[in-house]
Amino acid sequence: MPPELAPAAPHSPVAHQFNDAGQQREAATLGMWVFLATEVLFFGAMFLGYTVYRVSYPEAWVEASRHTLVWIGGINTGVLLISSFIMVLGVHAMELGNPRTARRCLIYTAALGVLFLIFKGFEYRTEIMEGLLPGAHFQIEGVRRPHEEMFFYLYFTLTGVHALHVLIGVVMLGIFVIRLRAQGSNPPNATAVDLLGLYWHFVDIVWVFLFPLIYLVGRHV
Amino acid sequence: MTSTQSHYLSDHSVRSWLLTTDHKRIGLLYMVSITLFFLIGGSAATFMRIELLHPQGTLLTSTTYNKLFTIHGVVMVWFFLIPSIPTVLGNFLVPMMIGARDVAFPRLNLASWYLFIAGGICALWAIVSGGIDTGWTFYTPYSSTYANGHVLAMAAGIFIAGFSSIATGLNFIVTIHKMRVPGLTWFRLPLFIWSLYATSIILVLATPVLAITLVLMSLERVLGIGIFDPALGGDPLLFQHLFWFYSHPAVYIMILPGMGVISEIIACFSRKRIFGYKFVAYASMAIAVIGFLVWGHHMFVSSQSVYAGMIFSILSFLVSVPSAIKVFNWTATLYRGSIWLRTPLLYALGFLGLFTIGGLTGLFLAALAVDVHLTDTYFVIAHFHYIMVGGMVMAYLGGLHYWWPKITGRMYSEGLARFSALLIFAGFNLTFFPQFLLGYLGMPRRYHVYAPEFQMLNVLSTAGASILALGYILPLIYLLWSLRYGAPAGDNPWSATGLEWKTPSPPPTSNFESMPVVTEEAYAYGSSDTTEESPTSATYAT
Repeated sequence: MPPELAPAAPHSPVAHQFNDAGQQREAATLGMWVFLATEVLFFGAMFLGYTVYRVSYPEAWVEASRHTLVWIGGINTGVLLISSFIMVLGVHAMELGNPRTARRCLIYTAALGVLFLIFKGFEYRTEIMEGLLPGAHFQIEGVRRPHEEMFFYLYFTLTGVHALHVLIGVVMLGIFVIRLRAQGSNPPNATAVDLLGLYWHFVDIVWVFLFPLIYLVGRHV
Repeated sequence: MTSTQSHYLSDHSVRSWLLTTDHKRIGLLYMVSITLFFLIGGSAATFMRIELLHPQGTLLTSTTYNKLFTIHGVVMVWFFLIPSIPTVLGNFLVPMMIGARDVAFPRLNLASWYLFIAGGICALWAIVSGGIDTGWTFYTPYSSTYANGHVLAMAAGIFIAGFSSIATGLNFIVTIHKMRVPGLTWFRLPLFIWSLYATSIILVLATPVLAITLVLMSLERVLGIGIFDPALGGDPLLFQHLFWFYSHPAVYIMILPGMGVISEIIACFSRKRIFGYKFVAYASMAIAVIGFLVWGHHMFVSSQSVYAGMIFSILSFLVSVPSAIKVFNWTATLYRGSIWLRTPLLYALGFLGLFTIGGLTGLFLAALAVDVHLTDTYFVIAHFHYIMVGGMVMAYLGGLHYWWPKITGRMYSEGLARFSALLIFAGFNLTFFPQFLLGYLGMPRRYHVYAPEFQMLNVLSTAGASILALGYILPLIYLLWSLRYGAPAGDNPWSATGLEWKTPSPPPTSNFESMPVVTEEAYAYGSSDTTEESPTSATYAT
């Protein structure tokens, strides 16, 4: 790691409990990593449910996965990966002391997040119209199949909780964009943008796991 | 110094309390809140004990009894035991013990208290609007399909309170890593810090699993479908796996902080460095790690595979090793120490005995064949109450009596305090020892109608519970009394080591007047610079 790219940030007053900006930055960074560890376990329970039933009902998983819209899932994977790349550019710009560029990057990142949610909403709509929403009206090609219904139950909960995380990320990005524009008393510093980036990458990585688990089961067959 | 006149309690306005980010004040906010929840959970237990005086169960209906033990379990576990030592003593002491001005994220700390209160209000609403009868374990499909009552409100309360736990754990991990004063290396830390560090890791890694599990259970209840639903090929047992993946580590959330308190008290009142400091420190970490791998011992009779059962059984025996190391090391610390038998040490000695009984009976239950006989009997109830009440509550009260002079600047009545410590010890044993016998003889838990031959032991247990209740009410009275009438405590009434004693009582808002520097190991009792301060014969004479 390069020692300290940014000049001593002029806007970041050190909170009273810290001795210096370095301690504050290290504490904030560790705090974010601990939070992400919590998040991993939060998703972990649902991934466990997915794994248990995929092992129990492999054929149903292949069959159900064929009814997902892989092209939307694929586009959305690209959208999130590009958004993560732009987020990195934003973090880098902040480190170089260039908040204007950083702000523009955060706007593009947020826009791609919104695009992801729009695609996701379209995908949900198509699936619900096809009768793939678990419940009394669930059917695959006119037949009610319980194990496939379990797949779609897990699909909707996993992607739903993920989409909620994307939404929170978009809102946070929006707040940062506004605060970076205001140039008021306390705009976000490079550390804050870096940590928001960590969160955004985490949300991206969860999707990187979700995409093959949901869309690609048995597609190679 | 003139500045010692003003301290963290000086501002009395309500606003200054509700908007405080001072870790010491947040600790006190938690203290008041969990005391209220303790009284609620305790009242539920009182009704249960009265009901059990008679084998026919004439006072209450079965539904009411089911609701009472659910309230008792939920409130005591999530709204008293889990927050007890971490949020009260931990919030107060962690920054002070490491020489920091506050925790790393003070606003998050305050937010955690508000989350706790919000969760508590949900739970209380669920209770007063009719209650629930699922037991504190919420097993599916009963909770997700069949149970009447406010399962969703109760689950929401626990879900929200869970985020308060995560916030506290996250804060402690970061604070302990990043905010120690110069010279305070990891192996100079007080063992209380080590135990809270281990606790925080469990809080951060286990609580989210409970949160999502309760969400999945609630979704299943609302939508009528879910992953625990056999109609979709789901397995209700998966709920138990996920639930105990949290709830067994949660048992260590409920005992590790107590062990930390006991280490502090025993070192101070035997005037010795803890025997085998590093072993005790590593034992806390070992408990945190192995504690994640033993959840299946709650499911020996649940149709989980017998091989899984064998592995969980072996791991459960293994997790007792670090606890045993601690008990041996505390005993070795007492051995040839200069014992000063004050109230905190009485609680610590009580802890040692009761925790040992609780731990050993845990080994009975970890043995597969014995467990088949004892599962869902009063033996299990007695076992975990010896750990939770005989262990954690004793440690909490011991810690409260140890640090009360620091927190409030006042001394309490030593005579009354010793008397109530003895009452609690006697009352506790009379309450719960008969339950070992009842369980061994086959009385099942969660029934209020029982075979007449069990009445004698149940009456003994209820008699013990009334003594225990008196023992809990007394400290409430004399501690409150001491706030106004107690003798001023001085900075360090126990001549204890540790940074929290090197500042006035009550401490100033920023904890220390200048940043302390640590140059020696923890518990340097008997080293050159502390012998001068050690208690005079006059103090011993009490």
